[in-house]
Amino acid sequence: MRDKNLLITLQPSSGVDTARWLMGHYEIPYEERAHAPIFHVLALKWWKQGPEDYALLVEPDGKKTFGRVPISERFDGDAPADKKLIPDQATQKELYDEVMALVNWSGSVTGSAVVNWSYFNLLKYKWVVWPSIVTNVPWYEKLFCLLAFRVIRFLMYKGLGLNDEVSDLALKTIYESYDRIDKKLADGRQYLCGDRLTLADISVAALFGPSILVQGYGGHLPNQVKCPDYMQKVFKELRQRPTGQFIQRIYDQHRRPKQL
Amino acid sequence: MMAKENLLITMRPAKDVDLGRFLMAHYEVPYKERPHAPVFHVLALKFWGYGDRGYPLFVRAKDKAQFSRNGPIWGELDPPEGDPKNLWPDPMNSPSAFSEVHELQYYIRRVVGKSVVAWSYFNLLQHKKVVWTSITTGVPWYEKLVCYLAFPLIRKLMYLGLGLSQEVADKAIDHIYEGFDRIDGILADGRQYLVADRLTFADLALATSFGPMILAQGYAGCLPDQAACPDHMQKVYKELRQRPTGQLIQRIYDLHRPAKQVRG
Repeated sequence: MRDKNLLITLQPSSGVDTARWLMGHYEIPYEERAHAPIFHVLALKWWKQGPEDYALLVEPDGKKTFGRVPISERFDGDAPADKKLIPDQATQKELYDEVMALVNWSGSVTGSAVVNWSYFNLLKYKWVVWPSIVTNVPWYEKLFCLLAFRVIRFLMYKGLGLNDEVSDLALKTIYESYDRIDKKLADGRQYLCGDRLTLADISVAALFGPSILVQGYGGHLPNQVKCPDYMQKVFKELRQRPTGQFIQRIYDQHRRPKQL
Repeated sequence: MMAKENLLITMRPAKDVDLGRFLMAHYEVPYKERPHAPVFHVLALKFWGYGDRGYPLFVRAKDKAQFSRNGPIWGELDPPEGDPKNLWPDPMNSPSAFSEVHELQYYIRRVVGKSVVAWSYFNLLQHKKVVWTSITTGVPWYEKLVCYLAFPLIRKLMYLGLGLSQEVADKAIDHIYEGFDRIDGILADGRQYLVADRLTFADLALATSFGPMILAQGYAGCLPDQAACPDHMQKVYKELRQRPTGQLIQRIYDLHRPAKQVRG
């Protein structure tokens, strides 16, 4: 019988980084078992889950919860008032709807676009993306990635349906998403919904985070200077926008440090 | 030795090296960097006839002229005041702005900058994997091999050479906070640049010398990933990054540092 919570992850995923953040926020101790892309599918299958059921939380009694929103819901109910991230649906219906709309939109629209643009471009450069895919994964996964990086890339391109056109469209979506959040922040607010931290802030920060190479992200984003010039240009531009500043601030002020 | 292209001989992580890179990019002078790991940079500079603090060394291809350290580099490349690329106000035409830039860059680089070096090296060198990319990216394979096999020795030499200890690091971090206090004070009136309402050498000095304290993205010395650093360092990075000085540093990198992909 294990005495620790396990978090089964795909190392670089932004959904996974949201889950790490939530575990830290709710002060739930856990051990992460990180996997390289493709291998995460096998790991999840071993736990009898589907290929997209990450981050997978396995509690000592065997209870499983996967995905950033269910993990938040799992702990938010029992959290003290100042730690709650999800407004009460019964008493704060309007705020709840606002938060959950942003949480879902940032995942399904912007989060997917960030994934598509980032993977399509970064996977062209093995040594740039290397720490993101292999840090803390089992040695045999690292060895396979070293020897068969092209196979991994091919499978990821195929699995995510990535090509130039998809990447260009994704970048357009990312800029449009920044426009929308910039507009929301234009009134000087410190948080996206209400006057304190909610799941919407954490979701936007973590899911948009790779588009500014945010510092503090637990998925080991590449060092900007190692990225191709055209990507550096995008990172720099987005980082200086109100949304970019907001993302880094939320990480700096609300993400608990944990050395990985 | 004949070189077909301009060379910049460097120690990979050094703050003054990143200032040199920034200057070269700002003045649009193309170059090829030959980075070295700490300790090995001493041998490389000796080979070129310079002492251990002679970096960055700019070797110009067209006339084989050599410029060791940043003073001679900007002295050679900075165009006259009025040119959009000018970083130094003219000492005759704008004496007060010149003095302000001079005093600030000295304080930033030579006074507080030393503390940044002391605190960063003392703490980061305790974690080989964390500091690995900073010391070995792009360096010759044999330097990388020695660093890999004899990392404790490299660390010992660096601790000795820089006089580092826990006490020195503790004093250094207090000094760094004082430095941020002073720059925050200057920025309190809402200015976008440190001096003269435009980009000057003082801004570049600030970005590169204080940049390691916020793990500035764009610093080509390949600073570590914050999430890999020990918790007590992460706390400092997060705090300083959100201060007005931290914001200015990243803004200077994002708005004024031309992108150049680091290989290796």
